[in-house]
Amino acid sequence: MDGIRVGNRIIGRQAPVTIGWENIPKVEGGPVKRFFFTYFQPVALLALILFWYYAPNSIAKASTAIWISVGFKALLLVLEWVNPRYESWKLTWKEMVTDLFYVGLGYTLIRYVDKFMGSDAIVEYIQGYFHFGKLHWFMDLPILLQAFLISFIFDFGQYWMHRGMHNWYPLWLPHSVHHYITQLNVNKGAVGNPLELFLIGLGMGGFFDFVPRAFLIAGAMTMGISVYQHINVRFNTPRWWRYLFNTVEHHSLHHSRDFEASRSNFSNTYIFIDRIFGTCVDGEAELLGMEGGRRMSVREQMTHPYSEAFRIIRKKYRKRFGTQVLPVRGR
Amino acid sequence: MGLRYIDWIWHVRGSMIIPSRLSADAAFDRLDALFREPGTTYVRDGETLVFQKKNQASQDKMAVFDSGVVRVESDPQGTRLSYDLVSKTLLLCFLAPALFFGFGEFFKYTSSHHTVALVDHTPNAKSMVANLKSGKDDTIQLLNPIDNFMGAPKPEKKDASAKLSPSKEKKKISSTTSYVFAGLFAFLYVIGRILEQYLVHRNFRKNISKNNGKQVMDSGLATRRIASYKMLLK
Repeated sequence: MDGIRVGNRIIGRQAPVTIGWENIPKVEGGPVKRFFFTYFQPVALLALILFWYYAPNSIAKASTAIWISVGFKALLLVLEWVNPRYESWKLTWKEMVTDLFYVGLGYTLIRYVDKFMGSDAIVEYIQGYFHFGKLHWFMDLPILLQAFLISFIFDFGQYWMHRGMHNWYPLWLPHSVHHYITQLNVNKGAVGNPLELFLIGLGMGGFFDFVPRAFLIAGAMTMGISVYQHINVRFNTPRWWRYLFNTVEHHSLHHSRDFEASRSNFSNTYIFIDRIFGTCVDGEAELLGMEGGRRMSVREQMTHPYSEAFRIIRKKYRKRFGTQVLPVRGR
Repeated sequence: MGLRYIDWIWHVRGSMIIPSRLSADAAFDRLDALFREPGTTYVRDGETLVFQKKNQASQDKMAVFDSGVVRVESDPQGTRLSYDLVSKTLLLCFLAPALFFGFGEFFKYTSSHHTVALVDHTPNAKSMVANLKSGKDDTIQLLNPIDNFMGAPKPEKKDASAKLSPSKEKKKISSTTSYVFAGLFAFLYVIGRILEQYLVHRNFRKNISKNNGKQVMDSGLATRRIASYKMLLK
């Protein structure tokens, strides 16, 4: 394969990718279906923002957010079934169980660890140690601006963490597990080694004080945009949306079997961060994964970063101290 | 106790009558496409086919199974294709409720023992308490004029004790979520155990009734069709 030049890079040498928006298929079907899959994303985002902006205090709670998130994902699973992007990404029972296992870990064990060792706990400790409180001036801003800042600050941090994971081997090891997924479905964002899921959840938002409602709107904004990163639905995403926000097209390129393509589109929500730093590539890919699309078992996903780290350290140690194991000769 | 009373959890067994003129070799030839998948190795020995799968692809029609035996046997009713398939995924899904239930119990236990909040160790905790009690910390009441104009509900003011307690509460995690996931996996197991048995049986039947991509015609029907074509030619 020749690949396509994008800036200084040649993308698509190792696996087929589509670069640019011109050759990406459109939603097929009648006018109602096309209308629905063109306007669903912006309408859903607007509805989420309006709901959280005007919901009475008795409803505007984290528990409501969790139920909305569950319901919204269930709806998206139905859309995956109605209008799949690729048949080769079809959700099977096994894929669903595996995905939900990681979703479950995220809601329970990782959340528990996060309470004690996560960024909020660290920030709380730093604030206490240096005798300074949260930065209150954000609370004077309009709620929607606060919400955008919360999600942007988190995404900006996540962009650099994610980029770091693709550029520094010790961070790549836990993240690599997520890149062994061979298809995208709505819950695939949760799949990964727990260490990576912990690292990617670190943020600096704890330093700032915001109106509680702004947190809920920020959560809705993040969900209403980034949930489409890992989804097997064909949308006619509006041009402005894909210019500002991360889409499944962008993220499928990021998960492509092509190495150069996988080193693009690092942000979680706002693709314009990638545009600012020159790492955005518009396009999409169908063939995903690593090692030619080898699907990793859950057991290997849990142990891979540690076993790989051990293997590499042992190799380096042996090379340095000349303790190479001699091959066993047959008798 | 032998495992035979409980191995239905991860074993999927079944059988079907196949055309009696099909030899074991011919039957396995027709199932060949199901086993020619990345990560699958298999051995055919007479009337038995044994397979194993490792890192099977997501879209492999038998992805949920990790190993198994397929046999073609003579039966008083005709020739019978029987299978015994092993699935680690089914087993793990069966065990997952126990894991999440365990998480729930663990969270319940730790939350009842976790009474020391981080705020107690925070050096400026005293000043925070003083500010809250004196009502100085009322910034939560303010909304930007734009939000007032647009009619956003005002945040509720929390009393001093409620504002401090979150630091304690924040360290607790609800066990309910874990129990919900335990229930979800129990439900998924039931669905998967039924669905995967149905799908693999259907795939075997579909492949057995195919011959190089064409449906195999019942011999009686074929004879009748040939007769009717002959009639037409006359």
